[in-house]
Amino acid sequence: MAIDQPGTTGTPDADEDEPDDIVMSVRDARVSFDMARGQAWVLNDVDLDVRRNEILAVVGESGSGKSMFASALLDAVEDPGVLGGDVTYYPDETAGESQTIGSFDDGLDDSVDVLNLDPDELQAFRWEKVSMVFQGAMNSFNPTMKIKDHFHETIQAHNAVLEERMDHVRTLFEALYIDFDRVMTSYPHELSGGIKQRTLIALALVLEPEVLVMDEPTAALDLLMQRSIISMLRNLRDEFDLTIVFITHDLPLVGGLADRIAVMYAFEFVEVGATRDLMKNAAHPYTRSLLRSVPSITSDVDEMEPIEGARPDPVNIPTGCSFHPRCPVSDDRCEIEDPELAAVEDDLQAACFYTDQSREKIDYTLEEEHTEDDR
Amino acid sequence: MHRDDLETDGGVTQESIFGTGEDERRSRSSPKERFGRGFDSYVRTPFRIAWNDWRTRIGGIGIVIYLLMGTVGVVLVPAPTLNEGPRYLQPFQDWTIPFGTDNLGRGIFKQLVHATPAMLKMALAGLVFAVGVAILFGMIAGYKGGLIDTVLMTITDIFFVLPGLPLIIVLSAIFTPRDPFIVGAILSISVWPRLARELRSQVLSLRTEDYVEASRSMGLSTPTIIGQELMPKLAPYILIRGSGSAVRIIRDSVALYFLGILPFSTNNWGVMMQFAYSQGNAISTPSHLYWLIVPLVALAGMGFSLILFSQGLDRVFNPRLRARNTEHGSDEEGTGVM
Amino acid sequence: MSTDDATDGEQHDDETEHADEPLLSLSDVEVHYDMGTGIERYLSDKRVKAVDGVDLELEENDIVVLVGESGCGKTTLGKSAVGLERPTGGSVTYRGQDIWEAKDHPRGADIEFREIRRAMQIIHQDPANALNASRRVRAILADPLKKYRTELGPQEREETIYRYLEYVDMTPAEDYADRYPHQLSGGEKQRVTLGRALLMNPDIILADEAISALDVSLRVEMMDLILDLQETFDTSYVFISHDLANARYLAKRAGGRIAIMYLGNIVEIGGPDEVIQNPSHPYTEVLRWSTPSMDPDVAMERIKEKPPVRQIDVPDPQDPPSGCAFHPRCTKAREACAAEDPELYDAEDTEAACFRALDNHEYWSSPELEDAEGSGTAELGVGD
Repeated sequence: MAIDQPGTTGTPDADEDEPDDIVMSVRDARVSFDMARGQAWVLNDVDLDVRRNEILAVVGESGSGKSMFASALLDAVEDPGVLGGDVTYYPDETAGESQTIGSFDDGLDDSVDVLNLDPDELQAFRWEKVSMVFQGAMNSFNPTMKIKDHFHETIQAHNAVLEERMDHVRTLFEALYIDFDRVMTSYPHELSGGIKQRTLIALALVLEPEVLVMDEPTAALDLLMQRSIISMLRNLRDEFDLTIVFITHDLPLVGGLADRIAVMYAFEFVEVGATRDLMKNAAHPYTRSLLRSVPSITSDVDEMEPIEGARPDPVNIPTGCSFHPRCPVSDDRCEIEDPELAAVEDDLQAACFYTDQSREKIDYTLEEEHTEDDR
Repeated sequence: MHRDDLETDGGVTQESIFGTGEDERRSRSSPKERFGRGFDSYVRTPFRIAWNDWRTRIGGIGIVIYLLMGTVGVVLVPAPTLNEGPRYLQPFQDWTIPFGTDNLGRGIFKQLVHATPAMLKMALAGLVFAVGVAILFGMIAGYKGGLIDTVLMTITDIFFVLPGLPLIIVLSAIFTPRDPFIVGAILSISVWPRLARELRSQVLSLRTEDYVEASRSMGLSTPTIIGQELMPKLAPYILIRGSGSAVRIIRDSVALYFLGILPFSTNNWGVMMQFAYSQGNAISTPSHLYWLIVPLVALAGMGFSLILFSQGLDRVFNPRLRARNTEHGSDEEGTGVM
Repeated sequence: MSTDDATDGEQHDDETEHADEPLLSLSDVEVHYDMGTGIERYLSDKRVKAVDGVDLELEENDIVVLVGESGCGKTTLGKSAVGLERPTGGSVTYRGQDIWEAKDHPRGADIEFREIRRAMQIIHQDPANALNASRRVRAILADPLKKYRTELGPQEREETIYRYLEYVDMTPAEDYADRYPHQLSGGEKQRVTLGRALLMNPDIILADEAISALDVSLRVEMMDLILDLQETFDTSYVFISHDLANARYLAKRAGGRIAIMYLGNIVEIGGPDEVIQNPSHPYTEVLRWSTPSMDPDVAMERIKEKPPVRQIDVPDPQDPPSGCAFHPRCTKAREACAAEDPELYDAEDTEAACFRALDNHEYWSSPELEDAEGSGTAELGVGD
């Protein structure tokens, strides 16, 4: 069944005395597929730890590899992509007996090698331990089934107790501000996008997984709904002891939500760190350039600048540091050597040789001069 | 008219246009280059793509063979005469009479060749009428909507609902068409209504596309929009359905000739089969079967070639293939993600 | 050298007459759709009022950004403004000429419909769909020239096409001209769309969410390009955006206005700083609340707050509320709001469609609504 993995002391921030409790760890994950023009790498040997009960935002533009990363966490990379590396899940030791609702058997192992699970185990693993809300998933409801049938189907497929689960769903619906009776008896087309998306989140949580991975869950929704769902997610995390991995291209969106942010560029992580530290004073030139190019409601419009150049082609990733052609502080070294993620501060790592210069040269401000508080 | 007194109405002054880029000599392409591009775009590239696909290749060769039979063949191969060989000569015995003879000693191969022009004319007429009327009715109704749509579709539906076969029989009895063009036209009546309806629904969905809206916003006329925006998208569909219609019309004609409903003046494959059946008792006499089968194979071959060709032709309209096979222009692919 | 001049041969001789008219004027524009099909349409009363009596004026070189959530009517209003959607009520006037009159009664028109049609163009949101995938860039860009610059020969057309490709920063132009849309990146496709619109030399361009399909880091580039070209070509823009931050960027850099829309009406309009920092309409506050701050400290504080609405879900457009369309969700609503439909009134810094902007309205003496929770907090009810 699950294979024991040697201890995870290789992780960059594993302390001896107070290890951050890690719920999932990814090492050397890579995804490639063959195209007519050559071999394309859409995930390039990435390492990352997901800490228990945190909200981790994975931020990247389209074509950065973030969706691939999300799929890798569940071993859900589709053909013709080929996933390699290690993805490990660590069950909650403090929980005592197996916490699973459903058929996945934790056993007494302290880790699960996700990429080597056999198909039945993988099927149980997904949804019971790590669950995912895909991009555009609110359109993948079965139009001929009522919502309650969708829930029943999932519950039964995992051999869980129907009544107990539906009680839990009631609690979830409350937290998501959904009218249980009305929505359960509706067909998908009768519901608005916002309601569907929240229902989907509840569906992903029906078997009480530890980790919820969400790929652009709010992309197609209106502003108010987006913002409301962000609040709801925070509450869900607190109420249900969840870990959330939130994939998005919208950096400002997760500023208030995430505990940590991991920035992806050209299929690698270029900066990972605590939200506050990262956003206030990012170290990597890409992050800083990105922050300078995204208008916000309070930014100085005259200071905004786009990032020059174009994003890299998966078949032709630049040598050395993949950002160097577009980087304002790069030099010859960057063309040859590819920097690894290295600690810049306590909880901030960046994959760059010149983080000091980057901070000096690339200027951005988060808020204009504070005007009167208008709230 | 002086340009200097232009109001600031959104007009661009001479300065702003002349000022930019005046210094660099932009490379103009000569008419020869432009012609080369056009030739490449409309002739060479499509041909190259078509040839690369086995379906178009085989189908195309088939069609060419039939065309040659109907044009050059008629000249090269002498007309069939009575008693040029023994009656009911089996095929492949005598190489001057490759497919044997019929009950009157006429060479079957020669009959086949000389019947080809009539078949081709029928197929062509059927194709042109069926597709032409369908395009006219279907695309205009779909694009314009409203009253025009209702009127055109009502007419279409009337024809749709009329029973095809009896109608054709009646028309044949009244008009006794001998000219294969006219036969083809009459037979197309049973085919065009469905095609018109199908084209209309295709146009309905294409009409709401952004690029069509952009063209409308430019004020382009309806025929222009139909011709340049919609046709390239619909061309594969039209070709495939069109050749399907042509095949169906030929087949229908053969059936009707076989049944003796259509009057015949010139030899054609359907007539040959009629004779094989009625005068040669081909079905009950195994040794006469070849007389029936030869025209049947010719028929099947033509239909097969047409359909295969049109299926393969679908690729010619695919812009990605056009880009890859072109000599002019770059080979670049977008990164595909967005 | 007539090839280099991008202006159309036909000129508006009546320019001077209408010199003080706004470029575009929408007056009480309504776009109502009857719901249902066939018999239902006659029998039922149900209509969707996509645009419900909107007044808007646009000057030369002006920018208005229409902001709102889905179903607010911004796309319909935008398309009505550029003549791509025919209003069921009210009028759209271009330099003093009612555009639909010009189409229906060409003889009496001061400005020909053809000229109006040329002057108003659109850029779509999804660049992938805005260009016909089966045609090369060269052919796509030749369309407007063949229609409106018939005096140009093929060589001159080609030159003009190259020039415009350079305007939108697509060099080498010769290379780009030969490409098919699938050989261009999203940003490049969008620029071709922009070039196509500009080739018409329009006075007004409707940019329908023109940047939302682009990479985040490219949006500023595209917006800057649009703003630069506005100077070169003297065009006015009607922008549609669901993103308040982008709307602010555009409106602020161009010195234009933001118009907030809700259920078919403009509920607030004014300069970007005014609308965002001192809004007078409660719905604008909701939008503002929904747009996160970049400063993580501020954002983390804000995230704990409840939204300033009584229901987070949008009501059914087929069954709009009585009186002020926003009142069922408004935390400050009172009974007077259910009875009367407000107009745009002069408020502190902006114009807002809210009775609270008026000093002497019965709103102030009207009792609170039964389920109102008081301002600032809300129960997140379920709408629909």
